[in-house]
Amino acid sequence: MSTIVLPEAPAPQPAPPPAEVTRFVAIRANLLPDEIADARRVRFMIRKVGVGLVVVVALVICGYGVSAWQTSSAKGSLAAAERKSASLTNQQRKFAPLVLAQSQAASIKVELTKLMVGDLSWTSMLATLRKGAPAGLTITNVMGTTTVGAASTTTDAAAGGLGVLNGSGKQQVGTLTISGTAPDKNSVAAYIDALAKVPGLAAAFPASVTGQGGKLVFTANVIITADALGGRYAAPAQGGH
Amino acid sequence: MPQTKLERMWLLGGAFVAAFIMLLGYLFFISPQRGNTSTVNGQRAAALQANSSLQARIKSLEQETKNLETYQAQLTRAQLALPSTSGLPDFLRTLQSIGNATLANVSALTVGPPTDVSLVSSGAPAVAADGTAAVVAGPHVYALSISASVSGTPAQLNLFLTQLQTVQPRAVLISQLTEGSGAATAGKTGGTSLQLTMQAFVAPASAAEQAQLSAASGK
Repeated sequence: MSTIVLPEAPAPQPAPPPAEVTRFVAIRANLLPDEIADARRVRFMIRKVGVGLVVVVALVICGYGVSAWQTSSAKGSLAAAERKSASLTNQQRKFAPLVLAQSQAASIKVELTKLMVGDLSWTSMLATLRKGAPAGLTITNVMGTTTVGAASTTTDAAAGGLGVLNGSGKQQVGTLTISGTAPDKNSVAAYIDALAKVPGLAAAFPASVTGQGGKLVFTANVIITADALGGRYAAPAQGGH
Repeated sequence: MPQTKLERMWLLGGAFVAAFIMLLGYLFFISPQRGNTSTVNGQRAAALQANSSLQARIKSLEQETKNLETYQAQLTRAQLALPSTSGLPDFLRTLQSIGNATLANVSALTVGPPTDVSLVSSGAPAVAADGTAAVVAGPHVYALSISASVSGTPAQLNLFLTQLQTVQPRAVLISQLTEGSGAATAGKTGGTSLQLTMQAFVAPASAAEQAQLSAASGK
């Protein structure tokens, strides 16, 4: 228990007649037991904590509400975008014949490009072989084989043991066997040298030279490289064909 | 300010419970909801982008549709190059007309059984990842091996080759060529006969056609 002494009362009014003079001393005391005061403060604190928790819960609910509203709003936008998408898809359907023609043509073109990867202009190749022939040399037979792309399913891709002689750094795509007649070995050698310089051909070498002065029969083997490839459905040839 | 231990306990306990409630609320309610929002926003962004692409595509199609006939002609040409049936009668007629035009004589023609070349046309590797032979799903493409003997002068044979490779509509891949010549001199060819081994391709459109060709190819 505590006793509180309050300050003295203000100065007294002019003194009354002496017969009635009474002096009051203002004394107030808080006689409330500490336990009760403490209990009151605790109850007050509990109330404050309770209110605080309610506020926190309310904040959480508000946060959830805002998030839910944002989700709902986003869903609404998504639905609108999907409706627009469906509408655009419907619009696109009216172009179906055009899209079909384009896609089928493109698909066939892609397939043909892969199937015809071993295509080359044989007219140009034969012309090139003849053009390199020196005077007096005659080409009597040319056999060409391609070994890439769809052609590899029917021809012997290993036709080229010759491949080991391919020093061009280009992919071997086929072989040529050229037979002919020549007046002398120098002519055959000159022809082989000329073939070796043609873009798209590599590793030209004489496989056989028979006969004697006047008329030799020769056979030459040449590798066809990727530079010779090209056609209607493939990229133009890099070589000189 | 709390004056007693009990008040401090209530205050600290209240703060702890408040923090716990906020944590629970965030983890179990707010965060999942924000996750949903984020997911939906992502879908919306994707849909908007798709719409934008679609709009651009439609605009482009509106322009291209003016050339519909050109595209259909391109498709027709492509289908002639890679038909859905063997098309051999048409090819025979084509050879005859090339022969007539170039005055070369197609003296013999043989056609072998179809060969499945789907791996080539699809660009798939011949061996699957597990080491087994690769199998192409979907439409198959077959090659018909055609051997032809043609005779004529060198100029006629050159014209014949040019027509065969660049003019006639069917795509043919010459895989082997043998030109034999008679008399010739330097700079001029003496080729008088041409043996050609070539492949014409078929992309069957229907399952029935594909089954027939598959049976014929032995696969």
